[in-house]
Order: sequence, then C-alpha cells, then structure tokens
Amino acid sequence: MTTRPFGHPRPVLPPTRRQPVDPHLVAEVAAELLPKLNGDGLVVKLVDSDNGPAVDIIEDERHLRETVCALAREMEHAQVPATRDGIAEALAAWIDHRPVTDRQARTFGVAVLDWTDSTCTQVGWRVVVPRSHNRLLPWTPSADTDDRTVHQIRSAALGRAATVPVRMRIEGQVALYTATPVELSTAVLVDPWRMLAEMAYHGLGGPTTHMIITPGRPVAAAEQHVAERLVAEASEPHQYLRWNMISDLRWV
Amino acid sequence: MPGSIPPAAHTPAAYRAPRWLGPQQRAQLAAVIRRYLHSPPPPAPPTASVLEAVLTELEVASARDHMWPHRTLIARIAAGHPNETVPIRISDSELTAVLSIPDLPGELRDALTCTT
Repeated sequence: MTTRPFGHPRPVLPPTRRQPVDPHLVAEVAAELLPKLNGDGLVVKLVDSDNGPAVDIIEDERHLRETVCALAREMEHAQVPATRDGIAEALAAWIDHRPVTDRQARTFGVAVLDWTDSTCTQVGWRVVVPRSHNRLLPWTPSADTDDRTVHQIRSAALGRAATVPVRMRIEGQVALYTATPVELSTAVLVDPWRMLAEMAYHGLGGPTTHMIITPGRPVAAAEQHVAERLVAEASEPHQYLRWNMISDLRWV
Repeated sequence: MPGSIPPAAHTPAAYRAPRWLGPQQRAQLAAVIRRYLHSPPPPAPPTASVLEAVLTELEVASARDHMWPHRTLIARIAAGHPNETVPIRISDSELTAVLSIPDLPGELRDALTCTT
C-alpha cells in the first residue's frame, strides 16, 4: 500500500528546486503545532533525545520517535516548501500517517486486497483503517500483539468488508465493482458468491467467471474468455483469478 | 495456483496495435460486425471467430480503461485524441477481417487504419 507521509507532491510543472529545510524551524513549528494535535489517546510532543530534539508520537501500544534533523532531511527530499506553513502542513500529514494501533484496527479495520511483495506478483488480504481525507492506512500487528488478537481483528475486518457499499457497473460483458474511496473496492471480494449472484441477475458471468484485481483499483469480473481478452492488454500489474480461488488468498 | 500476470504477457504471438475509437464508433462497429455475422451468406468459420474476438475486444476496451486509466490517459493526451476515446487493441489478422466487411463505413475504415 502506497502512502505519502508528507502529503501529496507538488505538481510536476513548473520544475521545482529542492529547498533546504532548517531543522530549527521544524522544531519551532513542532513546538507550536504538536500541543494542538493531542487528544483521543494520541500524545505528540517535542522531546530531547540523545540525537537532539525529536518528535514523539505515543498512541495506545505504539511509540514512534523521529529526530527533528531526520524530519527536516526527509521534508527536503519530499520537496516540502521550507516555510512555516509548508512545514506545519507536512508535519501534520506525517503525524496523520502514524501507525495504526490495535484498538483502531479492531474498531475500524476493513479487509482489502494488497500486494504481498514490492514486485506486485501476488495479492493477499490486509487490514486497513480509514483516516482523514479518505486515506487508508495499513495495520501491522505489533510485536506484542498475540495471535488471538490478530485473529479477532482480521475476522472483524472481513465482516466489515462485507458491508462496504460497492457500486456495480456493467461495461459490455464485464462487471466493474467500485467503492468510495476506490482503494476499498477489493473489499467486495470477501463475498464472491454475492458478486456471482449479481452478475447472473444481469445475465453476466458463469462458472468460469474470473476476477481481475489490481489493489487500489476497481475489481473487474467476467467469464474467462472475456476476462482473458481484458487482461491480455493490461497496462498495469494485476492478479487474474478464477472466482473460487479467492478463498485461498492469505493475509499479507 | 493463484498467479499474477504481468502486463501484456498473455499474447506473445500477436501484437495488437491501438486504434482509438469513441463510444459511438465502437457501438457502430459492433453493430456492423454483428449484422455481417448474421446475414447470409455467413462468413467462413475462421473469419467468424476472429470477428467474434473483435466484438469481445470492443466490449472490454472500456472496462480496461476504467481499471487502468493512467497510461492510456498519457497516450491519449500525447496523441491528441478526444477524451471519450479508448484504444481498441486488435491484431493484424483481426483488422484484416474487419476491413473485409463489405459495408464497413468509410469513417470507421479510416479510424481503424489510423494507428497514431
């Protein structure tokens, strides 16, 4: 799952020159901003660490620390405007990207399909949690999360996935399933039987129905010969599975 | 076994060049092909199966654009095609079969023989 910890990059044009971000200014902005972000179990604060000033994010069982120097360096690489407002926006976006806690995953987690590897060759289930601006963040069990808790969180996320509103659109002999945000679309695959029933109602699909899956994109379903033609000229990585293979997918 | 298919790995045999058609052109071409397939005398079985494949392509092209719009969008802008067009990817043999339809309208013939 791709995330942008410092917000979206600026438009490609006009060309931008990387501006150095002053760590002292980052520390100043952090001292002003962080107290406003505390609450609802979230504690963010500026602390003195062995490596200089650092930002601490503490929430439930999660604890993340990043030095101000490292943050300034990463902001520079991400071409964050080296102004007070630019740094404040980037800092808020970074905090918004903090790790998902077990409590949040248990309460809000939804199961979707994601790539299991960086080369996009296999997909597997992953628990994601919606945060602000319709952004989804993946949940990773912490080292202290026991197997029983992991199982409970995943089961709840599968159940929640079945309730995600997904629109079906028919293009020729292809059924396209899209949710809002689109990154939730693969949640529909928790119940492929429901998809088959909907398709059959519209005179589509059949026993050879195949699913075409690209995490973060709509899901396509069609009979095998149609699906084969669709993926034959695909411009992006995808997984192509017969409908009854969906139940074999594992957790990322 | 579940397996991922890299883009365009299915068709090593035939390169399918893009032909940019709008929704009306796609519907018109599909109607022309269906009429040809069902009017006497029927085309020879090999030609008929090739034309059936073109019909399938006409039906999946829009879904493909919906699934993976980004590279198509870049190509569409670069080539200056209208927004509603999508690339129909057909092989040389499929193109030949379509062009052999006697009452293929001239504008469709022009659109299909334009590969830019």
